[in-house]
Amino acid sequence: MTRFGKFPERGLGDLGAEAVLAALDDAGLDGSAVQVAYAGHARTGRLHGRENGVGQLVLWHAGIRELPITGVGNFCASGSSALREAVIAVLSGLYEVALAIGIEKLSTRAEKGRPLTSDGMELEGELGFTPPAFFALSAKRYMELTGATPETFALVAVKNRRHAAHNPYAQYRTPLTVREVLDAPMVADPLTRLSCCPTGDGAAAAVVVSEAAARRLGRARMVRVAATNLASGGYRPAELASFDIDVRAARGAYELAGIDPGDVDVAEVHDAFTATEVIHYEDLLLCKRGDGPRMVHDGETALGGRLPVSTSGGLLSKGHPLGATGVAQVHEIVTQLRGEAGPRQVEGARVGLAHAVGGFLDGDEASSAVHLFVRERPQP
Amino acid sequence: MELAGLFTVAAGAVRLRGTRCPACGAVAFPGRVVCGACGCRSLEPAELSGLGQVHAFTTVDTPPAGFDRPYLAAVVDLDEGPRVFAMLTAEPGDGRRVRAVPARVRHGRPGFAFEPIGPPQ
Repeated sequence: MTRFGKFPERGLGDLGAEAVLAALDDAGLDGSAVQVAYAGHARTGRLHGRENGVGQLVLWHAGIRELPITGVGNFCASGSSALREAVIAVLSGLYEVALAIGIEKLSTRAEKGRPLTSDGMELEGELGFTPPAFFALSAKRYMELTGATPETFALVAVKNRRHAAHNPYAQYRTPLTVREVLDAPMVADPLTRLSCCPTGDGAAAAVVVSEAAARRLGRARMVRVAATNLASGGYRPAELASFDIDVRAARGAYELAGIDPGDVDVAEVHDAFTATEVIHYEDLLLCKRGDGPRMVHDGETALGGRLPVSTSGGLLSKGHPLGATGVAQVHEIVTQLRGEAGPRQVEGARVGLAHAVGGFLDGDEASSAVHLFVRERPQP
Repeated sequence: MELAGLFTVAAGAVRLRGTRCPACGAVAFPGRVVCGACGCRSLEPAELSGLGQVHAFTTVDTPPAGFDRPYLAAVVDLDEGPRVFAMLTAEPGDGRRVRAVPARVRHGRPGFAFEPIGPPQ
């Protein structure tokens, strides 16, 4: 992956190519080995005039041509969906080596300092509702149900910044205090500016190979995709403080993988807001209903705790270049499972989870992706 | 987004335009093609009263582009069943009853918001 940050001087093509070349070098493969590619991006049409063909542009920069390339759009889960398509392409038996790319450049958007509006919220956005307003209401309801406080949520931002200090790819790496998070300008009560993920630019890429190709390449540093799952909304949810779309995406992934949620050692979840990271603990079945706040206050989801979450620093510290996020989460989980995460390493991590969710339709989110990864061999 | 087809204004009152299912009575706003409750495909146009109940609300202190000052954002459950996400003109009263009224929305365009009213008669 590339670093995440604000890079107005970089273009979609060269930013994406940087990630692609890094992934190919990491895999020990030449570009000519790639047989199919999927590129996840969510807002390149509106911001850069390139609705389609982002994959083609990135691979042109990377010196790769003539491949079957498909652009993949699922809001904030675009990158995760691109990875999913690469996995499915290999599982289908049609291809042995697939490439998933995630990329976004938000630094050129005109509305600096203003909350990002969401695709899918055309009516709601017109009438004054945007993601921070929606998730502020989720946060309020979650506080009512569980006793979580604004401090509970602020602790998530503090935790994720602490993790980001050990991640050279993260955009914001300096420590935060609870006081700073609570005193930041209010966006939508109770979410302050530091409760919301920043925007940014970034790209990530992953090479997915078949069993046969894996054997030929040698399995050193390989990580297995144990499950890919994707869900769309059930619509008109009864509860503001829980997202059944995520519950279904997670439950399906655990079933496909034959993995128990209790086996997850490290997780990257969609912490677009501090409050939603806590809600995700419950919806992704990583803890019992209502236990999210305790996990935060007891430090269970911090490095050193029972189940470190957002070891990369999360969307809150990396920023959220929409299409890049899902694949960057994979980068973090793979790095963890390889034992190569250095000072942010989760000791003995064997099972990792990546979750991204986005979009909006009929009161519900529109696309939720959960992937599970398992270490192939014991760490050296 | 073009709001014009979604509501009408008459004598200062806003009516919302959706669909009603003749088979099960479910009402949708915005209107849809197939009933989400029973699968019926012959949905009829419906005019909604614009009356409803505030399910939840909060203040938006940092407005998105197109809005130039803080405002209240609410989830409103319409009497006919659909849920709408929109602005409130003021904090709701104890009964949390509201009605749709004409209002300037994003970029000052004509739309609707919800205004608190007294309890139902």
